[in-house]
Amino acid sequence: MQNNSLIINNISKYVNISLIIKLIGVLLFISLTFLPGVAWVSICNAESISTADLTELSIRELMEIEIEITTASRKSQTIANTAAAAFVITQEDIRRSGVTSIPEALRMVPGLQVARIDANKWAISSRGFNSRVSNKLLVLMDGRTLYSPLYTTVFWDIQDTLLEDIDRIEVIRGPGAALWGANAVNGVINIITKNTKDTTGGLISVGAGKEERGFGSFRFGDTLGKNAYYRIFGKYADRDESKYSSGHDAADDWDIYTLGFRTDWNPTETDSVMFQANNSSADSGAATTVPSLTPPYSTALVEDNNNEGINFLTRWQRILSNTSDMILQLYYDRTKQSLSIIGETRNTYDLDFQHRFSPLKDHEIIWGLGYRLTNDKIKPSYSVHIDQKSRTDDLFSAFVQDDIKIFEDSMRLTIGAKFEYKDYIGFEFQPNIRALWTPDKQNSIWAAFSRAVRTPSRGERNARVDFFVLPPGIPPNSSGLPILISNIPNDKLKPEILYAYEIGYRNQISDSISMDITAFYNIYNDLRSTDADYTAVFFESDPLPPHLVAPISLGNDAHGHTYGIEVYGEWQPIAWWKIKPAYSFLHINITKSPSNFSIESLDKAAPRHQISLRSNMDLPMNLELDLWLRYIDDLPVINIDGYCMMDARLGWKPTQNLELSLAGQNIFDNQHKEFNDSVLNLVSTEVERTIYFKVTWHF
Amino acid sequence: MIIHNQNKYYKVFTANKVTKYILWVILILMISVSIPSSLTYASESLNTESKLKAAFIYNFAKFVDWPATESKDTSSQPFVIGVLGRDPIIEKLLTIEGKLIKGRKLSVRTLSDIKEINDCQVVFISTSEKNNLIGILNAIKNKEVLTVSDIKNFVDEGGNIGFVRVENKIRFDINLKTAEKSNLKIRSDLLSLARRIIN
Repeated sequence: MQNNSLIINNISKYVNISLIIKLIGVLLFISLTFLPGVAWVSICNAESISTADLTELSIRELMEIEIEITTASRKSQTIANTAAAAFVITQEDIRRSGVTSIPEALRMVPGLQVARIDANKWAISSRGFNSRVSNKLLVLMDGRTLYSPLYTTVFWDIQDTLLEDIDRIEVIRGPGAALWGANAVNGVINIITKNTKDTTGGLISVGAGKEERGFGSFRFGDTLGKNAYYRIFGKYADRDESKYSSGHDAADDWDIYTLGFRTDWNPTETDSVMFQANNSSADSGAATTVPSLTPPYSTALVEDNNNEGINFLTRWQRILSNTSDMILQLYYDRTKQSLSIIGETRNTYDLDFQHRFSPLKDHEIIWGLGYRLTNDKIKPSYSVHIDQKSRTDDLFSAFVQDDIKIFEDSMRLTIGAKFEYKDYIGFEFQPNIRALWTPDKQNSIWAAFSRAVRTPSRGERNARVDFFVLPPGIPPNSSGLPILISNIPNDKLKPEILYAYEIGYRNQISDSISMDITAFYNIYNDLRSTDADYTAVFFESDPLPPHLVAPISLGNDAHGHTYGIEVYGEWQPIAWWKIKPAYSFLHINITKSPSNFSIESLDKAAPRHQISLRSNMDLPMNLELDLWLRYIDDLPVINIDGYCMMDARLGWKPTQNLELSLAGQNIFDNQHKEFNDSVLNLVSTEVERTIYFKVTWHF
Repeated sequence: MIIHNQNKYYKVFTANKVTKYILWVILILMISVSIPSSLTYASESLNTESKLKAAFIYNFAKFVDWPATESKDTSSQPFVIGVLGRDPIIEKLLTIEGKLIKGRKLSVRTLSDIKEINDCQVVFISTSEKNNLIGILNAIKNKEVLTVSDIKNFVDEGGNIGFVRVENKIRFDINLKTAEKSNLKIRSDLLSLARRIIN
């Protein structure tokens, strides 16, 4: 790894790499746009036209129509008609990338920062502000939120499901707050599993490798009576520990088992009901540094943390007319997390209703109501103190959106807002306005302005976290007592506010080339800031030994802006070869008033440039060769060097029902570090080179 | 505790700002030139797989010949598409009843019995009939009926045309062998668009 980063660093001294990349990109797109003789196949981004109108199209045209995404606007529409930075990771993308977990699959989305902290933890965010507790991203699985209100993050180590049964993962970069509520500030990720109608039959998948010590999953699905289908699945995975920078083995090995059930039932032609139940349990190893008031003043806790989750979800959809439908969803989610420094048991009950209808010609209105009740029981530890160990919070929300067609259907304006009332925050209003212009079947341009809010977490408001100790007598501590640096909670902490301006352009240049560009400018106010006030040091004698505490207080004194560009393209030069490049650029500028020792500089822990290049080749004899190259820029704020990473997968389908694959990850490099997390004092490890072999059998 | 090099950021910032403006200008130019002058047909919202599949089936019929049944004077008789089992495609097909296929009016029928397949030119077999698939295909073996379905591996089991979802779009496989055994002639235009052909 040292060699690669040296080369890149040396080159960038003489040549501005970022500039060149941009110029090449622009030249490429210009030349492709004006490529002579390219057949302008009409892409019918048809939606809501009747079957009769569809029959007017040729088979070629029907084959180009995309099946819809729902996250961007809570209703089905194709990406080309979405006035937002939308990206869909398809089942094919997941299968051919060789990834073994959902966070790894997210690396292919331009604009998302995915950094592996250790073998079972990731720091994932959209458009900046990444950390283990990256808090501006909302993640849903089949409509159930995976976002933890205590830590304002997603614990990816227990959010797992059968990857083969994921239909798609819809990713919206940018605020989805108007529809999905607070905390969908910089993005929304929705993991959608397949309808049981599409997963009948059996599936067994087993594999083993260097880092993936062993994994196996099974699924069986069938019809249930006349109008229903069901499936049941189980999965077990055991992952090896990674290495520290020194080369020694770390303690982050991980094993997880998941069991799940789902059924879809169509009692009448206009109703459909879905029910699912899931249970996951994971043992995740972790090394955490905790402060200690006695020499050596810090201890490394190496533990196996046990995390569990169980959830039940049911959804009823009813078609009311040609232009209206309604959805009612109810779920119960229970999670039990234990980290070395804090434990939490949480129950969440959520009820969500939405109705879509068309009161006037050219207007389509979606509105909804929601209620969520969450209660928790916190188990503090030596270094985390919390006053209120158990709390119940409820959240009332309502949203409304009007989708208006103007100028003979070539332009659409969407105006919407979400209203939320949370007992400890009060009332929040998150509006947005989006416009989409589709001058013809190939091009679409969209622009959006939104306001979004990130509500403070239970941890920020109630938990005091001790970070580290300054030993007595060693500068800057000139006193005779150890000084404990602690984060003091602030239950008057205000929500963070974002105003986002976004613009995007999509062009289906030809049958085989398409591109998607998005640019954004985000203004942040009232960002959580930390203030180390050395005059507020106080004496504390509980717990013993007596010590001083230097409090770091939380406030809302930071503000700033970010801007960036995300580019994605798909090119199929020959029928059996698809190339998918992606590039994103991000600039973050956060300041704090007044300036002081500040931890929010960690918010700048996002790489300036990210490049991803995927190549999928269908070779003769039912072979598939898939390559994935990624370049991630430095994170100088947390001392991480930029790195280049290459994954490769060779797949073979000797028969229609059997698939063998050999996948290697990080093959150029022995090990490299991707992130240094300091918010939860985790010791990060390095991502190692790995290879695994997998057999999948459908029956 | 963490010190970063302010100077480095400052230099890169200025360079990028200029580049950014240049990119914006080029982007706007690109967009304005690549938009054709006439605003043609544009799009609306909400596609469903069933509508697409129904439209596909309507189109398939145009590319397939039924020699035995067409040679007689059948132009006055309706062209029948039957649906076996329960599937939302039924409603979509019903909305295009009456349309002309090869000069014959389209008629859509829900089949409750395998024997009724003989009266159809095309039969769509729903996923709900998956467990009886072998039995169904055996019962109509070598009859001049085009079998279409979205059941997994339909063409490997002997079905004529099977729908497959690939990366958010609909594709189809064709079993030319069983089609020829049923005396159906599938035109090369349709064969060239198939994802996979079993021969």
